[in-house]
Amino acid sequence: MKLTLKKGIHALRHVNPPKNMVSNILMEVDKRSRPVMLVQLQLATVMSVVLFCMSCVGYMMSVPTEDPLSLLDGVSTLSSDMTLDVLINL
Amino acid sequence: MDSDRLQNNTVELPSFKELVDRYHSSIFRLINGLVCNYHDAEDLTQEVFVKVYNKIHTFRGESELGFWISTLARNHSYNFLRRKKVLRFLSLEWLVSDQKMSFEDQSESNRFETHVESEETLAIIYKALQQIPYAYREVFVLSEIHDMSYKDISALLNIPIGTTKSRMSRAKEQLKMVLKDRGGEQ
Repeated sequence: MKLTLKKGIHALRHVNPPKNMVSNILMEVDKRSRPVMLVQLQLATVMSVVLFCMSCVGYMMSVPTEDPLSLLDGVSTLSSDMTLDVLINL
Repeated sequence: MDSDRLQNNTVELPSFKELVDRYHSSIFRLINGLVCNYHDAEDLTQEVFVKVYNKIHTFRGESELGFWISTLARNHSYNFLRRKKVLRFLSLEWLVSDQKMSFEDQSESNRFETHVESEETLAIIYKALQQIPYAYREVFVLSEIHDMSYKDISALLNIPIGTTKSRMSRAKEQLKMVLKDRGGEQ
């Protein structure tokens, strides 16, 4: 298609914005300036902190309540026996 | 939102709705000419007016309101194009041949309903505008599409009037050349 600069300028000058543009702009501004947004954001933050704390508590509950050092008793005995064996063999 | 009242203690302003009604078409055409894409222009126009709403308190009335909004629109479009260029570079799209890219750009712009006499005309002029340097394109669009005087363009772009005039004449020259290559301009 052949096009002159004059016709090109004419086309650009007559491009119409979408019909719902004004209402979209007003709606967007309305949405962004609502304080509810901020409240929602804060609520979401609080909720995520609460969820994080709950998962931490859940994790801690699942860990055995015994003294963790007692779990090492067997290990230390075993290792000392093994050391003795090694010494005897020497 | 209290969209009926704009907060500015320095100048008396119309309501936001009046302001949008009055300026949205011209700002849309300005942005459309600068970014050469109908869909992007739609999004950017919306963003510019949100910016206008948030920054209206900084408007001191030293220039006309239309000029102030045009400045915001020009800067917003410029930043958009710069960001797009960086993103294009990062996504390695530049490795694809220019021929393919321009074809994709053109077909994308064709996809949208533009309410003009010919979508093909628009696609050709978009492509021609994209082929000239941005500095020339913006002067051309501000003058020919946005009806701005050389004095205002110089003030907006912070360049001497002489530079504005020479950019304008080069823009026209190069656009004619591009269109001539397509077999249009004689």
